[in-house]
Amino acid sequence: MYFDIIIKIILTGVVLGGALNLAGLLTWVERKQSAVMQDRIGANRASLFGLRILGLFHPLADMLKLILKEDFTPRYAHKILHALAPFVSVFFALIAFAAIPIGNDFAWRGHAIHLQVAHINVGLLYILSVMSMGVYGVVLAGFASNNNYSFLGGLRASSQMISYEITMGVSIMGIVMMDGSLNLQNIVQAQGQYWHHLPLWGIFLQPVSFFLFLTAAMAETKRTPFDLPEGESEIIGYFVEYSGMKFGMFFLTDFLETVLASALLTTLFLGGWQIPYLFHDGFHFPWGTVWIMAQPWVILLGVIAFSIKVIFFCWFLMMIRWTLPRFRYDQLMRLGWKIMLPISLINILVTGLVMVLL
Amino acid sequence: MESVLFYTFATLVVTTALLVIFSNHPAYSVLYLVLTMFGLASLYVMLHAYFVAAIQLMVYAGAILVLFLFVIMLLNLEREGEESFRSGPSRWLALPLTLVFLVELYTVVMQIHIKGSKGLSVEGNTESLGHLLFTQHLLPFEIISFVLLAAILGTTILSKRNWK
Repeated sequence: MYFDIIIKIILTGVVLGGALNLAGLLTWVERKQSAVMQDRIGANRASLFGLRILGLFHPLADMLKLILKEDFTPRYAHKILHALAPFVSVFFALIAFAAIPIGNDFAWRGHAIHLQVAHINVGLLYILSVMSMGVYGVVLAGFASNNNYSFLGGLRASSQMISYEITMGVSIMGIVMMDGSLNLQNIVQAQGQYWHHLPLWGIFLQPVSFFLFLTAAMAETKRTPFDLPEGESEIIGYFVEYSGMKFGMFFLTDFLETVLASALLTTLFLGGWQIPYLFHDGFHFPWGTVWIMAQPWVILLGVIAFSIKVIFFCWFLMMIRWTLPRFRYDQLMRLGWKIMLPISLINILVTGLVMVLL
Repeated sequence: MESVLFYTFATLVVTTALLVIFSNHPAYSVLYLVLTMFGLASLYVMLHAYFVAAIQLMVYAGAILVLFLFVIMLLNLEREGEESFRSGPSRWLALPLTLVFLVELYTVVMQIHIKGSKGLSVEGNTESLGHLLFTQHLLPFEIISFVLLAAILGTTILSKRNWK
């Protein structure tokens, strides 16, 4: 009993710390990546004891600045809701990580250990519902500021998030149909099978669904091709009346959602913690070479593989963010409702047909 | 442990449901209703009905109440709200309507014989629900989806008519 609780607490710490730190680090990655892509040097001023290390201290300096800034509340705002909104945003972005498996299940001293904070039967639905609850932070921020511009930003954000949530939920149904489970751990384990030495990852089985989910997840993070709700540069968004750390929390939510989208893409389409040809007792390569490994190392390699894939997708999303220009609002809605939703419905139909025929 | 959790969430549900009625601002009412949905979802989780709990959150809290909040915010009901559902002549209708509803609820609840849920396996919850929907209750399920389709078509036609 106590052992299980201690394991869960450690695991929660690892997942929470990993997600928050990666989100914090992404602020630095974003500045450096944009600098590389635009042929600039990028952030390199912050230094600690004369050390600069490529500007790696910038996230710390940013955080310090945000905390020390004046926390301003507009006079006619709904005070409680205005303070509550950023917390709601961050809260729902963070608890979604609970259902994501970071490694394989294993037994240790007679205890079954799930490397997944909450071993939920309907993990996928849980994540989708928690992500849909994230709308409240945005709506509340727009409403509570009592400012027409932030209100319009809130409306844009929530209509965008609701529209793309539908495509997001429908697009992954193909995966669920093939694996026959809503538990993310089962979905990852099902991706450990092979077809003529080709690992049966979601991206090979459901390529259409992968691209649909990628686009919808990008729209959910409210970052640049889809950043109409925020529009930092010219149109102003739902957090225009926020300053200091409350503004920082909205920003953190964006980065957390980027990490969450990467983790979901990894789990559903890139085999989660699976490494090709790594079985529970070691590597079995198709050309016959066998490397036997002890179980702890296999589990550890799985966790490392999961982290690398998540970091890869974070970088990939960051690259798209600095490549594509922003959509116009009517283009956004047309893409969501008239193109992506029909394609995802057809995808379900085709998947069902193929499954019945084969 | 389980009874402590149950009473916590039950208190949450009842208190927030009362606050929905008694709060002054319609937007706050909707937000309390969100909390009510949360409490209900946690009660479903305690009954091992994970699928229903997740759907409860996704459909009610995540979609329908967001739309409620939209409408309230767009119409800016802050000022008119007070008159329309507290002090107008319609409030005299409230008591008989509530009574009729309570009597109906009472008769329905008394007719149900609650059986133990031990037959349902916890792991196969989604599967068993899906199985029932597509075998035993297929016809009602299809009819409901047709009703929903009719509603979607109806709203589309109504909005198109105003558009021209």
